[in-house]
Amino acid sequence: MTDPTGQQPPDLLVPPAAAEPSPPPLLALSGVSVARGSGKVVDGLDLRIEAGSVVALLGVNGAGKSSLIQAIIGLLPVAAGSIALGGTAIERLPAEQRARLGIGLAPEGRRVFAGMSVRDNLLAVCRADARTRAERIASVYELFPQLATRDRTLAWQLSGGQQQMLSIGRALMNLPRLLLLDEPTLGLAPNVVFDLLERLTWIAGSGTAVLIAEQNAAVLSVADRGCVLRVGRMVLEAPGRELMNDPYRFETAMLGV
Amino acid sequence: MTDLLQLILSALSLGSTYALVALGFVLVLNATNAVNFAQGEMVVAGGFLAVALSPLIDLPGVALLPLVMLGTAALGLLLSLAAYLPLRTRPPTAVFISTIAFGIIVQNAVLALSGPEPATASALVAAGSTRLGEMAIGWQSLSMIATAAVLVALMHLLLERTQLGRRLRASAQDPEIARASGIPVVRLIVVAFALAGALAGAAGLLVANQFFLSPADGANYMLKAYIAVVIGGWGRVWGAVLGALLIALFESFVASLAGHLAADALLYVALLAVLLLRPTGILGEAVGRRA
Repeated sequence: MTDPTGQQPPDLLVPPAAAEPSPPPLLALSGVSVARGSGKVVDGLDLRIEAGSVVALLGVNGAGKSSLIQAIIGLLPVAAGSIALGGTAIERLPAEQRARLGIGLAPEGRRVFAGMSVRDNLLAVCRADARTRAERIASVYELFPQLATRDRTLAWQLSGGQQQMLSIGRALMNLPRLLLLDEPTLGLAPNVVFDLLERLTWIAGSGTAVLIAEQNAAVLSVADRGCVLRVGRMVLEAPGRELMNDPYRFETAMLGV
Repeated sequence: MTDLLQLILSALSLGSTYALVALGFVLVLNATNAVNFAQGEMVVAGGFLAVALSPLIDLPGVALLPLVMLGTAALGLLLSLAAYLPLRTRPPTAVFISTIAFGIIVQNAVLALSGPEPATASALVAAGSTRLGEMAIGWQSLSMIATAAVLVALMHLLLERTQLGRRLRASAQDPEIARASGIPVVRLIVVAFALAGALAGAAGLLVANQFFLSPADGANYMLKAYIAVVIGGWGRVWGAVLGALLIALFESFVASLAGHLAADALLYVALLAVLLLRPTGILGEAVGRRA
């Protein structure tokens, strides 16, 4: 679902003869701190995400995962450090501008527009002409066929899993370069989680980078990289498969024991 | 029987203006979570604008509707810029007071421009009445109901079928997520105030054609809208319209039996009863408005 014209603009300042100019990563956080109340909930965090990759951000409650996601989209201010999307600094931009630059958010608790139909939830956020909107809805329904049959259903009447799909579908309506997911598997049955994770690999396969904040280690099965956060700091970063196969190392890092 | 039908007709014509005021009120309430106490003064401003325009343009009142709505939409826009946006990060009480202040300014501006005398504008479509059997049906009442019904239907289409409407609803339900989805929430708040102004202005034009309107009438319309929203379910758009019609029916029936003073008093007793027995309104609060 990624717009092929929207990613990795050519770097015109570097002459073609220069040896392998490396394009900026899709998302680059450097030294990011986020404060909530009097304390730092994220403390000097560095993170890079490449286009088309899936990164799992793991940690227990209060580790700072949600705060980091909210700081990336702009719902929480960054106290220090910088956030760059495709090389453009975004940490001072308001949330709606960051969304317009290509960030989609499926927030914690799904937060679908409860009193609106599935279709209207998807349409409301879409910044495109009517024909393109219809095409994108069709793509979302292709990705989540369960939503297609509930087109006119009010969002609050959907099951938890369907609401999660709607929340993700909504975030995909503007073909984001980066999809942020905050605890997408919370409260879902294991088979629904499996389905959802499979869809996330499809989304990444189309070039969208995916950052998932989770407590559920199951996401490591689809993650290229797993990052473990503890009290606002990155304590472990390794390939997803490697972490999945070494639960002891992973859990020690999560709990800090 | 004829009396009853006559009573219902006059109640509906009154109710249709209340409905427009309440609809605007609830749009702003949903968009901002703040109570707009200037909504009643917008009705008065619209009414007096119609009164001022009537002698200038030799057309039926309904032809002035777009002009009046545009005028009060501009006033709504001004209201949002002056009394809402600078205070939007403050507690809702700040906005509630600033909208009262704005309303007082509008009321006094109308007073200064038109004087304290009640005024009336030219007929909406035609004066006089037609007969249906034994019953005399005033054209004015009929055209008031029809005009309000058309405006409510247009609002329904706007909210349900257009991107602007979807975005207004999405921003009302979850402004934070709407922002994070790229919806320009602040601009939509300004639009909601302008729409509320336009609807109040239309209500003002309708009443100015039927009744005498005086600059101090704003508070009455504001209170009726407030009660309609409480009865219809805080935050429910169509509940507010239904609540407005119920209030008008209640008022008209009680007034015909026991006089206007009793009708007003009993309306507040009924409001208290609703608040005590069904605090979420007769229809219940908007589902998941703050999901």
